[in-house]
Amino acid sequence: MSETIRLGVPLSAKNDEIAQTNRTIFREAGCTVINMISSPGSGKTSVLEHMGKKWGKKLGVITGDIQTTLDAQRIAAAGAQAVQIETGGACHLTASMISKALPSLDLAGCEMLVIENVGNLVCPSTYYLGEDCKVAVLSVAEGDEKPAKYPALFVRAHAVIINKVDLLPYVRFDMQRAMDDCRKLNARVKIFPLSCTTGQGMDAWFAYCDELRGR
Amino acid sequence: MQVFENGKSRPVFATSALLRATYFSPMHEYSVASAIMNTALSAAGKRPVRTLTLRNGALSGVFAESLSMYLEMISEERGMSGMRIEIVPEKARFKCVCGKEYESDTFLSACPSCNGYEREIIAGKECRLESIEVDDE
Repeated sequence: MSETIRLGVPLSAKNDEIAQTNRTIFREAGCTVINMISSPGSGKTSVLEHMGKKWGKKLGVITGDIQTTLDAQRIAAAGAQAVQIETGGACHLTASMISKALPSLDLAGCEMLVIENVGNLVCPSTYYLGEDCKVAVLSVAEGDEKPAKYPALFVRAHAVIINKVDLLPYVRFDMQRAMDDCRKLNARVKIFPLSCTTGQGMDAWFAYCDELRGR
Repeated sequence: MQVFENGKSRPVFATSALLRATYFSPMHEYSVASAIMNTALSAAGKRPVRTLTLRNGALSGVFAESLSMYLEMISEERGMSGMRIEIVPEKARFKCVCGKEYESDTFLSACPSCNGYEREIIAGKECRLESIEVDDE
């Protein structure tokens, strides 16, 4: 004979519980947190270098990669606090990895923390880390169809940076199509066309970060 | 993990191969499968688990076939080969600002009533462990 035990447990339950603890720590430190997600090579680290130059140690960054500490070195050289997580193969960061990285940051001195997720348009979007908002980064060289092809991220993103707009004359990228698809997936999304090379659009992005910090 | 200050590196802790394998599991669905098994085993106590029943939302981001493969692998590792795995698909449900509720398998589906996109996802984003069947004591 057998017995059926009803559970109804979401698989994200354990991760979400740790994420809530992270969130409490962020709230108590008065730190606004962005979970930044994109494919590899979209320019997340370049955006963070610009932010590091502007805010220095008031910006904390936890950066995740499969291997190497190259990103954290670049971000620290720009002036921000930076911690590298090498996942050794995992395709996304989890709340537990963030929790272990937190003691390495001076959170009290941090007004904003950006978690630079592992470059991947799929898995990172479904793991809550305790952040206030998710920001997707899409570069024009990747193609305008990416929001439609990888909707799981764009449906959850509060803001989308469309990066490398200085390359628009050289690549086929229909800005209107990309923006329309982003808005179909999330009617309230904020969109920021940006170039880390020319600085175009950076003021609007900084103003949005200030708005988030003022919440 | 390493911490950087002004470009200089200071190792905080080095992860061992074992820690990496258990903690930083290499594949997305593997870590999901591992979490399911832990939850199932703690609910079962010492009794062997015969059937696992999961409900997977169309927008959960969990790929049922890979999940099932990893669950089989882990159940064999833990001496429960032959465990039945049932994954029930669940459609996504949306609620539009116009008031219409509708079902779909994709994120990019307009409201069938007003053709708009200003809607909330009210179901289908989760993958849940619904129940387990265990042997009686």
